[in-house]
Amino acid sequence: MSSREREFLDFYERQRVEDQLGYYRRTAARLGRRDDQLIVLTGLLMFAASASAAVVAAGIDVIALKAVAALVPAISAAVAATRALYELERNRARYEDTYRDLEYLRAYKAPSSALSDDDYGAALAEYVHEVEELLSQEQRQWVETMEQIQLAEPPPGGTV
Amino acid sequence: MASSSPVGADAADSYPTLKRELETAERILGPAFQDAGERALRYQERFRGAELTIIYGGVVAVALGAVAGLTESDMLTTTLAISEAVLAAALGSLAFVARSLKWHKRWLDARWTAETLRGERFLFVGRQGVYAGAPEPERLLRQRLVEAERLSRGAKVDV
Repeated sequence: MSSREREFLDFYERQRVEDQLGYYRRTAARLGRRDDQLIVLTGLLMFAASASAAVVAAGIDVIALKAVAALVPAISAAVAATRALYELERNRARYEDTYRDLEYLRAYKAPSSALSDDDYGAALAEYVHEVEELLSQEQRQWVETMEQIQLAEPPPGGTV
Repeated sequence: MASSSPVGADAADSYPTLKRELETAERILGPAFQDAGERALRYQERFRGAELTIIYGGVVAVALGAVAGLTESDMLTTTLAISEAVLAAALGSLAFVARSLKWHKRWLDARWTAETLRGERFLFVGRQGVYAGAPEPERLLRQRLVEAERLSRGAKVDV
């Protein structure tokens, strides 16, 4: 293989492949943590809503509990809207999938230094093509996902 | 989607045989990439900031309504009702501004452009994809830059 192609593969692996792998790994972990926190929060809110509604239904006249019973559904809806705004679940899943696919390409498709010059050039071209196709596909899917975000509606006002 | 590294001219010293192409890519793509990246970040922050304000401002509006419904003081009820109406109007205005200024669309467009340019850099430097055997790769890179900035997001740029 030529020294230029050898250098380019090193450059490409470090600056493109490893950079993207690091990004997908870090971002999937971060989105996962945030999603888990919001799911736990939703569970706690469901418990608070049920408990306060039960107490109010039992005829215990505590104003604070009535306020909680009225507020918790609104907070739950806000948490659900936050999850939808960031598309945590879908983005996390896509980043994890892309990470695995990219790892596969790096492990099995990167050209071997044992190849002849001609074969090496062809293998390098094929490798770069497949990596760029994968990243481009992830890019398109990200845009499609984020385009579908349900925009928040402001409150109508004057509900008192 | 987006990694955090810049187009990166600093790599040129580590890769002597790629130095010329790296510097050319930085010179041609660098300013457009940086501009697209900054715009993407700016509109992402505006869009998400507006959406979160509308979402949690809505919760505050509900809280005001709930407290007003539970209090027995007429004056407090009136104050809360006015506060709720003002808050709802402010949130409605914010939603109108955010939609009208297309922060969502501008964020996605700018991010799309930045990521397309990032990939273009690697193809150009390695003389891969459309640059393989191209008689005038620099000219082609400039054309592809114009194309990337013109194309709507989601369009497929040939690798």
